[in-house]
Amino acid sequence: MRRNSIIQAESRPDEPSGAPIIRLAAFTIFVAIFSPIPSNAYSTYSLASLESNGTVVGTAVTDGTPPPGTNMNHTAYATATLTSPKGRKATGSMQGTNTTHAEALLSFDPTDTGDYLEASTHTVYCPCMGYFIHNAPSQASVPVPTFNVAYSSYIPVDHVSGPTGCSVGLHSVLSMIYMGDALRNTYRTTESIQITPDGQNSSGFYQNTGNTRNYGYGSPANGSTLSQADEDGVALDCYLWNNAGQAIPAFSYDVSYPYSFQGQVHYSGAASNPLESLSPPITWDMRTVVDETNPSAPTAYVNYNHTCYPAHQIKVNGTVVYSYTPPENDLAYIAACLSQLNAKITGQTSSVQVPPQ
Amino acid sequence: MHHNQSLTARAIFLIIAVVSPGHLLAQTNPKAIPSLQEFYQRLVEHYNPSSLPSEEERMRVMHQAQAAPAEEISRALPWIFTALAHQDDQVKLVACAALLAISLRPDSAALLRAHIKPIGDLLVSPNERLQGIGVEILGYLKPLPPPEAAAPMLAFLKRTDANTTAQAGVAGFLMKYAPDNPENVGAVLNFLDRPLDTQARIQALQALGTQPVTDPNIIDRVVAALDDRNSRTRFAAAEVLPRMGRRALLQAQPELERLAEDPDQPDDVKEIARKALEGLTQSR
Repeated sequence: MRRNSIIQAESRPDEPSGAPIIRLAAFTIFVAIFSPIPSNAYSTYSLASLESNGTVVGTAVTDGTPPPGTNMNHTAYATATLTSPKGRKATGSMQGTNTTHAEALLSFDPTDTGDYLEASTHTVYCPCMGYFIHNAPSQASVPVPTFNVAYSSYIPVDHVSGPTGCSVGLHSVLSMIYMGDALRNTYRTTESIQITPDGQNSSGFYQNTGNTRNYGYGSPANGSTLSQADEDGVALDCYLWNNAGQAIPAFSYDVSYPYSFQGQVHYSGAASNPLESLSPPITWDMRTVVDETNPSAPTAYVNYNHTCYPAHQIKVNGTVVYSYTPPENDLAYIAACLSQLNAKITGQTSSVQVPPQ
Repeated sequence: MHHNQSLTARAIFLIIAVVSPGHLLAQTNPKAIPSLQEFYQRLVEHYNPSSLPSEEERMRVMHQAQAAPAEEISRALPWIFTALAHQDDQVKLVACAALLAISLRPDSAALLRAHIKPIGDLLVSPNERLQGIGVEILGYLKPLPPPEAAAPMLAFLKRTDANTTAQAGVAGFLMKYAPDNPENVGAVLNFLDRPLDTQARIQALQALGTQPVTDPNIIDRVVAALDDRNSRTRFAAAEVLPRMGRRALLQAQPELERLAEDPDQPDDVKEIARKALEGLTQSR
């Protein structure tokens, strides 16, 4: 797909420049009497487009062709200046008999996305009159949107019970509790990447897992939620905070562009509780399809397949496209989900409009 | 006076007992929630592969199994194990739902100790899902898994045709509950020496890191994983070493230092190696 944006400048030449006022007045009369072309006949415009490899092209077109039947030629000049959202610039100038076009190119930069602006200048030299006619500059822009596709799984409550207990000295619990992610802005697992379907480009893949923390006798210290009062800093004593670990982030992703206006991000992975040797992993297999058929209103939808615990979410440029919250958070439900006694959650969302970035 | 009051109370009780909606429901409503025993008895006596319990029904049974008095569980267990012995794996899975829930109860070891054999049989099932659930049931028994649970776990770990992810968990289980048994240690070492895929190797490292480990040969295998060609495996080895205890960290110190300073390592591997070394300083 080559996305174009044209803003046609008014085809009205500016006043000639650089001539003394008396000479200007004389020429004006000359033009009025002898000019073979009406002063508003030139065509000038700008064009900004996006190539399939992500290169942005700014084009300045100047058409100073005299009307048919005029036995003379003009010299047309065009200068294209393309500016990226981050301020990168490229310039190109051309001249030609009667018509010309100049191009300015900026290569794709995944960190420099947004609206690219082409600003063009157009000049026509009339040898008959011996002066330059400066036409009004023109502009065009083309968006190079990028999409951040982010997956995360999280425990949607303050804490949950684990399958095993601990016993050290006088402290003993039959089921340790695990810190959840609610109101903590944390996650169990995450994957994200930046894609630009127009440039068929992706960058910045990120994967990580959250800190896993379990607590023994006496927690939660305030009777309801885990707090600073539970963080005694003494490990493996089965009293208040007991142990911490991090699940191994060894997840997969692939990005494809089946169409020039579409990018697909496929995430899959598994992660198990690093503090429980027998706990099966949470798993996910999520395909997010970002569609730019309408460039001003891109959409996204998700094909999802994941364990029924914990919560799973996909955001595109910060907009939630898919969100699953488990109906229960008790130990039996968690065990049934992770051991896959309960079926995985599968399906496809409807399309959601997402903001371009 | 007292006699009259007593008669009145009896009359009221009788009326309530007769007209109570709950009483009527239990007598006449076939959809009344069955007890665990009734549920499993019906499952095996009226087996119909096209109308097996739904996921919602299984969850309800799991919640029942978690909350029911021990006597009710004991009454239901013969039927649950009849379902577990059924030829249809779907029926076995319905039995597993109750057993998994029972295993998470505080009194689960007492309730299931006499049934280790049929639970252990799940571990030799060709169905990997059943293998995994069997391992969980045995491993979660409270307050501690009985010693009899170790034998099927050990036999399972020795198999070369089993669910390697579940086997990895069993390696951690054996090192937690019977770390001094040479046969257990030998089985764990043999498992670690097998050509495991990355997922299973990571799982095994993680399982070994759920408790302190003192066997130098097992620590050796974890230290060797710091040099694995897969960066995720190297990350896993560095991540679990601090939880394996000071002896493991000391044994791994030279490799961890090399990893932390190696410019060719991914940033997260260097970072986790440095973090592990900090643990060594802190535990002095």
